[in-house]
Amino acid sequence: MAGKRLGAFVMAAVLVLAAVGIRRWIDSGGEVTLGGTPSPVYCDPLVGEACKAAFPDREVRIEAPGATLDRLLDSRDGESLLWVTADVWVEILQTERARLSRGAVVSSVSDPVASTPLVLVGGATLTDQCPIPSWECLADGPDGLDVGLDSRDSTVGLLSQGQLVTGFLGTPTFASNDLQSLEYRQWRTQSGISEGSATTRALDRMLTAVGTFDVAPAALADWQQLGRTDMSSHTPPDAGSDIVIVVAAIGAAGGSSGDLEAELVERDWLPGGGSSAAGPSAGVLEALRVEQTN
Amino acid sequence: MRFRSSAVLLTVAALVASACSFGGGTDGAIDGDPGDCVVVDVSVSSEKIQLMIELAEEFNRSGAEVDGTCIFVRPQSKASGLGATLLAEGWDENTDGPRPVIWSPASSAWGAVLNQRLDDDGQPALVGDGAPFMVTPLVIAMPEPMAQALGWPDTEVGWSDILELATSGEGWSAYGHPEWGEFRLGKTNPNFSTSGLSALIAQTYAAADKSENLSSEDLERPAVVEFGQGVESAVVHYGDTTLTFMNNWFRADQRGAALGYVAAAAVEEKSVIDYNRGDPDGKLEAGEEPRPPRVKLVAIYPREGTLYSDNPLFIVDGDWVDAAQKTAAQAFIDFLQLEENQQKVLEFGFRPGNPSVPLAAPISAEFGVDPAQPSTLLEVPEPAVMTGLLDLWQEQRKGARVTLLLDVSGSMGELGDRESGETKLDLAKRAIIESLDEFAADDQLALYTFTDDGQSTIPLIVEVVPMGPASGNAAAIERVLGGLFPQSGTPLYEATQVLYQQSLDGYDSERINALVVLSDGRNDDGSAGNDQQQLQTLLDMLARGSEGQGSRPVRVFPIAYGGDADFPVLEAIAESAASAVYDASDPRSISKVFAEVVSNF
Repeated sequence: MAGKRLGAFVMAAVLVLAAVGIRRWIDSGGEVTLGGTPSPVYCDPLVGEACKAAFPDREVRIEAPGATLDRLLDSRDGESLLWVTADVWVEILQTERARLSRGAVVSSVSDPVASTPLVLVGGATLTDQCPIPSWECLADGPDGLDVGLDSRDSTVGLLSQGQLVTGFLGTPTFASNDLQSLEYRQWRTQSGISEGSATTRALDRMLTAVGTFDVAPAALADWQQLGRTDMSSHTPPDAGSDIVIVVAAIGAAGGSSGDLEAELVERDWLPGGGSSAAGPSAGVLEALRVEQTN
Repeated sequence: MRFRSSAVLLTVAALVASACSFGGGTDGAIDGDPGDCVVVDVSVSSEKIQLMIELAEEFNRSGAEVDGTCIFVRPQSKASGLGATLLAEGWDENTDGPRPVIWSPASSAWGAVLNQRLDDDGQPALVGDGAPFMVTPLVIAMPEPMAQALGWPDTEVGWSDILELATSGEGWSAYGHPEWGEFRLGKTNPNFSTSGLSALIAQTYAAADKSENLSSEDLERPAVVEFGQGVESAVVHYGDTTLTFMNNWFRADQRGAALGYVAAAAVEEKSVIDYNRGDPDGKLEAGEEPRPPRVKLVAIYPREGTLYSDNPLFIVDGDWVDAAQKTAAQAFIDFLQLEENQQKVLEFGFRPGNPSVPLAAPISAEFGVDPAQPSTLLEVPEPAVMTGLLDLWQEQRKGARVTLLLDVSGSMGELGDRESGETKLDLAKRAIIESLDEFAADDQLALYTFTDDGQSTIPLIVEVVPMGPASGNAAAIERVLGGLFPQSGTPLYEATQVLYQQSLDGYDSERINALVVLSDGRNDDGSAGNDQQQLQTLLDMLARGSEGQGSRPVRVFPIAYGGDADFPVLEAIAESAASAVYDASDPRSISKVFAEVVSNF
């Protein structure tokens, strides 16, 4: 009798503890925590400040999306995190893991949180050389126009590369095979376009060291935040899709996008998704990202 | 398929395995934390790494266990010969990656080579019988119109037809196609490549009119020697991997010039399938779309017979492999043999090793291959005969006329190996000296250096050792290398152009004509304004020279040396010259890379 009572008591205790655990799990958005610590939030530097403000109670790490991608491509141990970045990075992660026959790590992706166009910023030299600033014009490499691009591990850098190559090839629906052609290689080696480091944006270099570049791509919201009037932003007629920020849950990470939308809107981003246009596929963008340039 | 006797494998082993030790390193691999699982490291030949990784990922996810402990299979790519050498001579996990629990070279022959080497050293065998994972026969790949001109598919084609094309002096004119010019053959170096070795065996059997019991006496028969010399005379260049041929062929095809590169190449059947799928290297990269070629390749199964690569799965009986790992390894091998996984083997263009899985697409005419072939299989010769074959090949292979162009710019004085304190130039000199033995005595060899004087835009191109027989020049090169020192700029474009023109001027149709360019930096000739024009001129010149039947192909093999080398430019140079670029971005790898380059000759 006593044994049965003890067993019933233990069972009841287990059920209560389980119920409490499930309640907490539901309250946390279905997130698994380790020692009570929620999964970290990895934020694209493009939205770093907004991210910090939107997730005040969580550990926020600002990291180039290329670096986060590299880690998640190799991830095998059920890493859990929230990834706040442009939608293309999440798409690359999913496409590449599938291509490499690796299991999926993205458990959910939010609706578009905010967006902003990718624009070209420049002064008189830009409009002298390219009266209607376009990616195609930049790809043509007009004499005397110094083009600066961000690192390919950044959102602006990678999307700029996609647009620039689209401008060179004349179509957004190219494959990475086309990056093997002699014509492409020659263009690459002769275009004279500078690519920045992971830590310094081309836009910043252009603005702080006059004469470095004549044109640099930027997220429009970023440019607007700077409030500069000595140069102009141009939306190229051959622009691709806008930069669209999403929140991806990796592994068992949970939680909402918090106040991210509001924080981004406060910083000149537009709520929700932006305009979309045909552009290079996720696989092609990854090929461009890892392309050996030197 | 296997050496019938291991009695005299010693020499073959030493020759083949040591030479093959340069044939590629570790490329693809599964990274990640195995946790507390039983780890099964798998060393596989490069052509199947993609498939093996895919299957290992699946296996790791399947929940397989040994005594309640999970299993973590971790494949890495290792050239077959290199694997044999490391297992025989000592596997350094710091530089060579984890020692394998399972070793899967391209052919069982490598297992025999390994055991013989160990036996010679008084050590026990490391591998027993390996279950064949999958098989693929050696074939002669040809553009379909060229094969048809030989009477294929109604008439069986063989090595004797290749000989006839190579030596008649008429080339394709004899087959009603003067527009195709002379006959050109792609064939890898048998000291480096399993395909090259199989091709050498097959052509020698054809010469001896046998399909088994090839003997040392056969090798001495004048007709056999002549046959071999004749076939080799058509070779455009050799090299360590057939992928160089497949990639160059495919690029030429995309330009509508598939018939202008080579007319035939000795490759594995799988390579023909990959090519016709539009994936010439058998590995779809990110964003890559398979694009079928304009001109399909077809697999010729030589009527005299051919050999299979059987891709055995050896569980290594080393002291680093415990019982749990052996059990886990066997579980993985059993998994690989499952019908559904053998179907995957098919998807990758190989024939299943599990006989219960029938041949199906893509082993089909649609992809240029014939599931009913090969009809005649050849026996792998006795080890002593193998030794003789490789010796004979050294004598009958096509001669070479090679110019070495060495960058002696200032940056070559930078530290190349922190541990030894050697500069990049020191390491390059050592690599050149080590490679000199690989040239035949009557190969033609020259050494030039390039830099500038740091004041003008005039390149300083120095003829350090003029063109002459390697028998004398090898010693001369070794002597003068000691006196070279880092100087100033890097007039890469102009130096390459000048030496390429010089190679054209001295073109010798009886030899492989080549220019090896070792450079560690971007073009820097003191005048950046005309760089683009210079490069364009060079690339146009190389492209004109490498295509077309009237061309005098001088193959340019650039080596991107050190982290600052201009890889894209060097790659463009290689592609324009229908050759291959070599990556020595880690200066410490230059000896290995230089040996790979020299394997082309």
